[in-house]
Amino acid sequence: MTLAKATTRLLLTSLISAAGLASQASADRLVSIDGSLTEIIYALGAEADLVGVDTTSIYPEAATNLPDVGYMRALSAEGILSLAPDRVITTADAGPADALSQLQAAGIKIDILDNTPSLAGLISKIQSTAAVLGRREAGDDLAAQVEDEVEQAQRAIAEQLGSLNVMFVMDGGSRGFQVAGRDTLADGVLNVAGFTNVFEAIQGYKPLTPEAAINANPDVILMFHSQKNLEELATNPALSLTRAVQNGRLYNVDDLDLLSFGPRLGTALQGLLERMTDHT
Amino acid sequence: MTTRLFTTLIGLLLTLALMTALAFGPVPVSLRELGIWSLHWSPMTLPELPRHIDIVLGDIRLPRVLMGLMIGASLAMAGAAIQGLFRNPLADPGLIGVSSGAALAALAVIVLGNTVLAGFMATFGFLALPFAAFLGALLVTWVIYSIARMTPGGSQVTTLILAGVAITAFSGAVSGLLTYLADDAELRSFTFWSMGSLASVTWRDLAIAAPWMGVSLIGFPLMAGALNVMLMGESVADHLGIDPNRIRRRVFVLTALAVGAGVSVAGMIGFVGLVVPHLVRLALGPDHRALIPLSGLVGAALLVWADILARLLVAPAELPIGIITALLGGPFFLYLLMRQTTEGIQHD
Repeated sequence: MTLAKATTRLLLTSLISAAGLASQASADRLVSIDGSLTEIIYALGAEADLVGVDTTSIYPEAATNLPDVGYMRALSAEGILSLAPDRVITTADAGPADALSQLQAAGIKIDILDNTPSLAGLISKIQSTAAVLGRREAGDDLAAQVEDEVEQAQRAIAEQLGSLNVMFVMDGGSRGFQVAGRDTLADGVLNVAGFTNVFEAIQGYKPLTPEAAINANPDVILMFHSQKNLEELATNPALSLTRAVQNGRLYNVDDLDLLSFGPRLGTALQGLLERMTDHT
Repeated sequence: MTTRLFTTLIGLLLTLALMTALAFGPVPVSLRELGIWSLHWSPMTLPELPRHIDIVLGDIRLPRVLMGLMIGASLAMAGAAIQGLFRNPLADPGLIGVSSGAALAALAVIVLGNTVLAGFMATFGFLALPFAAFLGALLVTWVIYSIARMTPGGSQVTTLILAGVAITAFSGAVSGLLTYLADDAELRSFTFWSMGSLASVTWRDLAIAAPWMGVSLIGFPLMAGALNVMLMGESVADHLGIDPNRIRRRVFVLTALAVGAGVSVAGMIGFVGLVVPHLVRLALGPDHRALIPLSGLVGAALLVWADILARLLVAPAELPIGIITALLGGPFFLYLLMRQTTEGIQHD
């Protein structure tokens, strides 16, 4: 009897202290500097802690109503300090380094999370964000859910499309087409989808020449940032002679948010699958 | 306007700018806190300031105000000296290639930092970009000057200007090549750099740049007498025992140091070197003994005011300061030109 009572009391005390800890951890005023982190924070239900975001935080729409601290590579320490945050959460792209060290000197905790564009990278990004917010459990749930969705999409893609040779092209407007090589978010998406990036040999985005495109001869071309419609794009000499365009497998993927590498990755991949199976 | 009245006015404007720049920013600081902070070196016992206020005033605002003062003053003085040297009110420090050299080097570091220049990046770390910009500024200026020196006899001014135009076009083309290779993030970084910013100036930056700029801040006023003589033409200068080539060389070195150091810390800040000396010349006439030091004061005041706007207009983000100097400078310059023209007609 007494033992049961003691156990109950112990349980209750630990529950209360756990709740206390949780509420203390979530009392941090938070500035998120990376669109995917902002998305994760919303998905974890921690948006009440957010007091500021950067210009890349455009989803969900509510995030755009928060104070905007500017472009993530050109941050200003005083601007961020004016939001009186306890913590800044960001990825390795943020800078300049001096602004971050000034924030640190002012006693603000700075978490720089890994942003590797892969499924494992996304899962660890979700878990680290959750750990920073003191919401590990919600983080594990979200990570499991995202992993599940992505794997489901991967299986569906493998079944219905198989391994395809794909070229991911950004339309730079007057600068011409830029093709995505390795170490880009676009390359990460292709790998997660189980496709082969035909321009894996180059690093970053590089101008696409008609001859390089014909030589690579992709099965599928994915376009983003393009102002032109697909018919107009298909006549472009850099694309028109590829197997992809001749088989009508040129797709505009702007609306799919493939490159955000946040919790909606599975949905984005499903969208890509639907886009690519619509015509065939 | 008399020189004394003008000096008093600018002095007031500059003092006001300094106080405003310390007192106002995105983080609210009360006058009481500012007072406590500004007395904290004194032996008085004062209440403790919150840590973030101390950091904002001492480590963010103060170094950027001091840097703004020095950059504004040295850009404007360099502009005054270059305009005097070329006897052309449209000349600015960019004419001798210093800005294009700095821009080219900065772009090279931003675009090639992970590949070709990885060794350079590893050696200089976070100082790689400012150091490269400084080197680029000096190197291009030196090349232009060396070409001009090869001209046999006579005046080198035409060769200087033409070499400057050619080298600027060439480094523009190489910049274009790098831009073509750059990805979106690199392009954006360069765009921000080329519009200038004092947002992340630290004491370390100040310590690195201040000695070079200090040399030119002292050197330019000392050149005033010689530049006055140069205004009368090179042969007159020659007869008065002043070697025009030596004067040119000194102005070159001082300009390269001033602009190179400024650009390396704060990126490209346009229009100060062009507009400020012009304004002072309109108010006070072409005597370099007043023109150079007062251009320095006006340039300092202009840049500190522009920096205040840069950090307040879109807070908590920041505008690049080069946008503000050009937005203020462009229309003002046009206004001065138009006033000059209409007055000229009235006099006729």
